[in-house]
Amino acid sequence: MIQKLTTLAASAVFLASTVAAQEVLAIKAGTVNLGTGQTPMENAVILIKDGRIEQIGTKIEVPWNARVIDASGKYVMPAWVQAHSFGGLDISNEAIQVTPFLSVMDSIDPVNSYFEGCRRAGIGIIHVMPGNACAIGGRGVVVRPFGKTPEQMAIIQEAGMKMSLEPSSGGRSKHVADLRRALDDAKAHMEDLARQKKEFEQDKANSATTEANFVIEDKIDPLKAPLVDVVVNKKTTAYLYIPRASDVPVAIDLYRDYQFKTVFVLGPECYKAAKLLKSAQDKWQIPMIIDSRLEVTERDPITGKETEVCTAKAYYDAGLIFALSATGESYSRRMHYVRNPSASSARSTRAQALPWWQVATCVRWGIPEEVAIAAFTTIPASILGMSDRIGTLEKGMDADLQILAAEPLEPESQVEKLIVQGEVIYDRSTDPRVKELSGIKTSAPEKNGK
Amino acid sequence: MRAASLAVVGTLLGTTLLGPNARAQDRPILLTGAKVFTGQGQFKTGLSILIQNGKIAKIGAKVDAPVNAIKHELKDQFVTPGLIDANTALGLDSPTVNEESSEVTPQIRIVDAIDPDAWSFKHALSDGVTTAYVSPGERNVFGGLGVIVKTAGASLKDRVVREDAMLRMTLGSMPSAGNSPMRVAAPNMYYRRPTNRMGTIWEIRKAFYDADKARGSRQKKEISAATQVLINALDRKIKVRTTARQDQDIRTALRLANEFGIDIILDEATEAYYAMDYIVAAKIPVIAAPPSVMTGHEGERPQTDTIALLANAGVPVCIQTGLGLGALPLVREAAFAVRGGMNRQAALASITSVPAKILGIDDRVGTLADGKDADLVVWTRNPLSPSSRAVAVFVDGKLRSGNLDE
Repeated sequence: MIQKLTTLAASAVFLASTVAAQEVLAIKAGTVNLGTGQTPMENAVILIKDGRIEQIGTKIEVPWNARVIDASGKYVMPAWVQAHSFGGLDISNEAIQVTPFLSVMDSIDPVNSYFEGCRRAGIGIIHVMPGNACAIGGRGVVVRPFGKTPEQMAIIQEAGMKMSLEPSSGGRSKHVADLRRALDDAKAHMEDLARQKKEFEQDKANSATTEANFVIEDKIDPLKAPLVDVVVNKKTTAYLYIPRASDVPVAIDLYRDYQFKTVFVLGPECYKAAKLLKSAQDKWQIPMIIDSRLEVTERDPITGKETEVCTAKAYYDAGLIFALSATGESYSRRMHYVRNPSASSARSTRAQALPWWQVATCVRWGIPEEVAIAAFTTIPASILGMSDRIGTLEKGMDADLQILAAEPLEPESQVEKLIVQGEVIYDRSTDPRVKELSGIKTSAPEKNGK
Repeated sequence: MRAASLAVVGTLLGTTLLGPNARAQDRPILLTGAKVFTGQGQFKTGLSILIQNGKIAKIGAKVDAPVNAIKHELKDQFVTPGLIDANTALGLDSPTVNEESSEVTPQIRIVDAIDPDAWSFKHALSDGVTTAYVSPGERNVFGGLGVIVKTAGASLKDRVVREDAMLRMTLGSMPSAGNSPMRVAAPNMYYRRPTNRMGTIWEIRKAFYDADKARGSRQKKEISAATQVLINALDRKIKVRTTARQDQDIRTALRLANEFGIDIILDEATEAYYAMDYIVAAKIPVIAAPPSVMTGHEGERPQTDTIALLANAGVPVCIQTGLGLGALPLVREAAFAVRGGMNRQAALASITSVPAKILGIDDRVGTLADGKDADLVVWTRNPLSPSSRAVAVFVDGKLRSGNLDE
């Protein structure tokens, strides 16, 4: 699923501004969690060159001309990877329900506080996609949360195709029918072109045409081409948002009927269909990403009894492999959580914006720490098709890592530095928002208009 | 015949099965092997705790337990006093319960609105909160009298630790929110109430002034319940829990305290970082807003480390979950206080011994010491780690949540 990479072009603009091509960055770390399941290294050195990890180990000599970051006593681990998000956009969806020809490249706002929040929370790679209020929303882009333009931020410019089973107006029947009609339309379009080609060949044989050739690829309607890549060529992966447990069978039917490559993005209530999802994952290797609301209160409508459920634990117990998500520490005055119609109440707090909190919540409910951390590193990396580049700290991998003030599950584990592709894109000691939001103040706080 | 013998057997079995269990709750309990936080300082090893008759009979290095004591070896687990949430809306229908027929209702008692079986109590209990302050809402200038209750127990009456504990006074824009000046011919209640801070503070001044006059009056007029509460406040017989989020409201609260000689505690004080000198000089305790919440309720601007700044300045400060809007369970708020820079010992104290002191109930709760109520929590890890879980919660010596039989 690795699309044409725009790495060298984009990163060169990046790297040239701060790190010269031959410069080596050396990180002296107290503890390094490689993300591979091995025991963490103590007092290790990581050498980074050209945006990649050149060497990592405990007995490495630091080159005399290396730029050194002293992280002794600190904890180093892979940067968090967010496999699905719709933050940082102008608005997350258009009013039209079927828009496969759109791309978030056109609506990513590089200075949106969402990206600032991702940097602050140690999220190094984000797959930004259209929101859930669509049937087919358009293409996503895998970005690092740093850059002046979407092109500078982009790592994979043409990533997944967003689809959703959440109706924005009207009911589910029409919504799914519209989705299916769009997919059928794309298939019919290709069948029509194939038929035209056959006719052309016949005409050619009968000398009834002066055209030299008929190239199908040149004739594909550009508005339909992105969907053709999903449902006919199977080149593009669909990310299908499933709001409720009752929508899971609908999603499975869609997959059965169209057999496209897909990732399920699960709403907070889908844990009730954990077994069904597990069997779908077993049969068809469908990756799954779960909603950031991990703790849901179920209220029995008759007895009034309230039970707390951890969605991640329900999935874990069913044997499902999943990626976690979080929205990043943007300190935004408005909470930007999507309002999902749901029978149960999923508690929304600032805490679930933090990968640290999400991982700790999983562990609190009984999921092993390595599994929880993998759900935010190696698993989303593999969902994005980038396992050879991100998710672990090994020789040859992209240098995407975070330097934490303490062990990742402890409350003191603030992100001190975030490095993506060898570039320090966040430094807490110079973060103006941290200064703005802490310390004794002698001049009056700025008040909002409201 | 057969039925009778079956019944006899049944009763015998019943007694054998139920007997020890029924009596188990009354047997002394000895907890050993855990790392214990007694209310201040660090977690200590080597302490044993004997629980008997609802109290901590003995806590120390060597504790002689009676022969019938149930022993629990809590290896690798952590024990703290039961947590004390200094302001909540537990047991209430909504986060803010107000008797809005009048904006000055100092005599209204929130205890009359509490549902002891509410699920909010059970959730707080399972997260380690054993004592909670329940408060009237913020829409009235004088909201009424709060109550301190245990989160579990036989009946509400048994659970009350202190009735009519403090008087709530609310500054800021909430008492005037939604009220509008009378511009139409048909007035209703909301046109009569204050529409901005001037009206709110006027109501406070008027109420205290009238109470002062009634107190000093030589005429034997009958004093209303409302006036009596205000007189008690003026006499410093009851503390006034004053909600003030923005810096201007904090300074107004301090000014009013000075003017009328009332004994106030600051509720929330979100912008305390701007009024720190005033708060320190006034020597007033603060019940801080939940540190994880960074969205302002009425336009105030929270910062990440306010509670740490207050603690470092020597201000007695504890944490509340308050209205509960976007707040996490109390123990997780303490984790966010640490994340914002608060020292770990101070954070643990701010949800145990310090709120007990501020609320005036430290003779009973907040620390693990001989003679205190046996309110304690057993955790899987250090409770300040969000990956920790409350395994068992004791209230008044009885296991009220979780279990120790793993």
